Amino acid sequence: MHRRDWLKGAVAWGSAGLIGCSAERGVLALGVHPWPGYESLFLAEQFGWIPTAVQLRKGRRAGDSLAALAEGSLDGAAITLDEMMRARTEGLPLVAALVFNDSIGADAVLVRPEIREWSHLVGRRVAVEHSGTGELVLSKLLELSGLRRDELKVLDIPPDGQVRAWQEGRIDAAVTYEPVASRLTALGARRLLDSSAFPDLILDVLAVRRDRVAGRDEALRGLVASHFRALEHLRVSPDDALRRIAAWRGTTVEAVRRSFSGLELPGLERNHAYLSGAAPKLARTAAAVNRVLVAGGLVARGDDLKDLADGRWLPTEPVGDLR
Amino acid sequence: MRFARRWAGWCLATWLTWWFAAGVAGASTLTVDAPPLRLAVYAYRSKAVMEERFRPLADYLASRLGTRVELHVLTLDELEDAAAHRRMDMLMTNPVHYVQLRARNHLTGALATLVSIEDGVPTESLGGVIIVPARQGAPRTLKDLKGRRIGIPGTRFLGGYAAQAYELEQVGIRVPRDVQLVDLGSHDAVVHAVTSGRVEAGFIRTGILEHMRAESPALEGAVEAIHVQRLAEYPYLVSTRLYPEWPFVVLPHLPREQVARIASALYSLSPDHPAARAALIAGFNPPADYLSVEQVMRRLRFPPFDRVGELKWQDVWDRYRAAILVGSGLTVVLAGLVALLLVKQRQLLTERARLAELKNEYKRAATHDALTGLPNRLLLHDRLAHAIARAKRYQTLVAVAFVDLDGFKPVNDRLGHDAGDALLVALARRMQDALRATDTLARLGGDEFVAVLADLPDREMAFKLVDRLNELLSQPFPLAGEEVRLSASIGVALYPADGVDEADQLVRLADQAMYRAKRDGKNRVAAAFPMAA
Repeated sequence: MHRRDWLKGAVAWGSAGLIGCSAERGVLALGVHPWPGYESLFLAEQFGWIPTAVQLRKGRRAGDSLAALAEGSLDGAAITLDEMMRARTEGLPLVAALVFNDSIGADAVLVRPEIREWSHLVGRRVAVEHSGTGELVLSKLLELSGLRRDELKVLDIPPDGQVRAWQEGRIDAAVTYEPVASRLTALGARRLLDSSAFPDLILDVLAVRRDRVAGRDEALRGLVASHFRALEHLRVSPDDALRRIAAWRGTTVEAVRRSFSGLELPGLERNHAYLSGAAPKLARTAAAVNRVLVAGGLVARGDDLKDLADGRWLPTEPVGDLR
Repeated sequence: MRFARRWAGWCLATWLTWWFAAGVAGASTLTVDAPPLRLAVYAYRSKAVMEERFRPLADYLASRLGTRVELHVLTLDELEDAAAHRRMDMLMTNPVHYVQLRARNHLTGALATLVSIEDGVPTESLGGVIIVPARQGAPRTLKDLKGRRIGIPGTRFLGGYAAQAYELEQVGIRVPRDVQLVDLGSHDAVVHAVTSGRVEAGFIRTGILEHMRAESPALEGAVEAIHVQRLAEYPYLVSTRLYPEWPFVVLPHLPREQVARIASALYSLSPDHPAARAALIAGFNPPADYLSVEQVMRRLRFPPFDRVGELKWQDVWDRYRAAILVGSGLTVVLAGLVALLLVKQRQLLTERARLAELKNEYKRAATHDALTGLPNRLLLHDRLAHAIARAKRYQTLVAVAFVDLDGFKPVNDRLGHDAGDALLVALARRMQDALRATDTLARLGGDEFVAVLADLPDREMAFKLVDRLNELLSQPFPLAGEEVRLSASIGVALYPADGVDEADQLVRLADQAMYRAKRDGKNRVAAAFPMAA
């Protein structure tokens, strides 16, 4: 993969493709952006497993998907649970149809090597994506460090702009996630905090609009099944899968392997536990996220925690060639 | 639980220590008389090439193990035979063949996975390459391969057959059904068959093309790979998914301590060791998971997965229990509903018949007398009107006879109501017998009856009938063990003779005539207007 090509594509998709272009009739349009947890969908697409009735719209960052969701050109998107909840409090009828991963280290705060402890952050320039999950990580950072938000210079710079900002010396710290975290590390950044300190808080989900998926159960079911089929491929043929991902991300196999090390990828059974039944496990996580969002002032009022999860699109039996 | 684990750990440690000690002791006491270890290697290229490549590896193992190691380069069939008869201790073969052998013989699992190397890039994965002649009109995509002549080294190959067959299956091309396979026996033969045009495409494993091009540069530009996959850091051209490289297998009859030392020798072979260089490998890694190979073979129904197990009802039941239960339940419910429907329908039909009957009964009740079943006043009026209309049209005559029984009341009082009722019914029947079928006898209530005699030719006929009526009524009746004698007073009115053409008026005239008959001494017939003599 030539990264420049990929970036060109991403720019076209991201700025022109996503915004203001509504879903073709009958096609389920879902937003995705580069994140190891979503690679299953890219794998599925490469192997031709994605149903024809589903279209993956590739953006550059979570913000692209969130903006397109808000303005109605997407029927769903791969985003984090907290992003989904923030969108819900703004009136979007989103529900989680799939849990891609639990972040156990893949979301991180990276800093200049001279920043050795919390207090060194005072007055420093911190890059965060305002609309995204970075705000949740920043809230946790403030909570753990005892710092106040106004003691930092918070800049709205999403991950896909952070490498450049770092190289140009415009930031001292970045709230970021893979694969950008690895790139910043390669540039000498130090890890001050990551999601291994607060597991089961940052979950990535496929959030779909209830009002838009009505009557498209078959397409959504097919897409969710293709994700599990790709997970199976990742499990059974890791070498093949990692090389493919590295090829289209324009990075090394080792870097891809590392980017997965901070993620827990729940299989079918754990997904059912998260989403299915009267008391889905996701509700507990959502309650914890809610507390952080409210305490951090990221939402005017919390999520009502109703109809958060729906396991109806999950396969009931294992998928792939091990049937 | 925790105790058990600790105890197991302690046992393992003790055991390992013991084996290690024994191994060291064993190694030091080995003599040249010890039976040699036999390493069998599958000849995926010519035996001469293979000998040259793997002899150094056999020697390396011998030096590390302190025992002689024989190298046997064998074809697939020879390998099968040697494995079945325990004529080897160690084995290296391709993954598909390994899975097949494992199903037939009790091999241990793989001890290690080979790491191949190309241009200094090591890899423990292999794949399949689809090659076509480099010319116009050659197949360019997987779909183009449908129906083509394709050269393969054999069907027991992963990189030379199964990997490509699986990719074709993914796009809907069933192998071997939808293509013409030509079994050429070796990878080299496949490459030559493609360059010479004997086949339209060929399947070979990764690395073959690169090695052959290095040996004969003329190949460069003569063949090309299609459906090339983009994989990072993979040193070979590849057209399929990747699978684990060749396994190194030991047979179960080897002592464990020897197995441990073989593993250690394999893992410590470095890429720059002459044995590794000669074999074109970078060494060995801990065993990869061969599940992906097994999956592909199952999917393609390769032996030993080609036999569809006998269908067992138990399996069907286990797998489709819910569906079967739901289906049966629905069937039962449906049958129940149908039965219910039929029952309801019958009930409805019965109900409908009953309703029709009731309707008739009501109609009858409305127009007939309940005791005798004779028409009542209502029906009488109707019949009389009809009779008058007919008489007008056909110039006939209608007579109305008003009958009142004489002495009925005393009989009724003496013998009781039931006897009275029976008497009335018997009387009615007797009168009906006296009349013609076209005549109407009605009961107005109590002991009053009216007879309508229609279509009469003349007055005489009317009175003849009325007289017979009177006579019949004066015959004795057997009732309650005695004979009852009654008589009747009868008044007669005629149409058109008596000058009225309304049914009511005609009946009134007859009624008045009856009163005259009573007055004149009962048991007689009186005409409304007696004809002037």
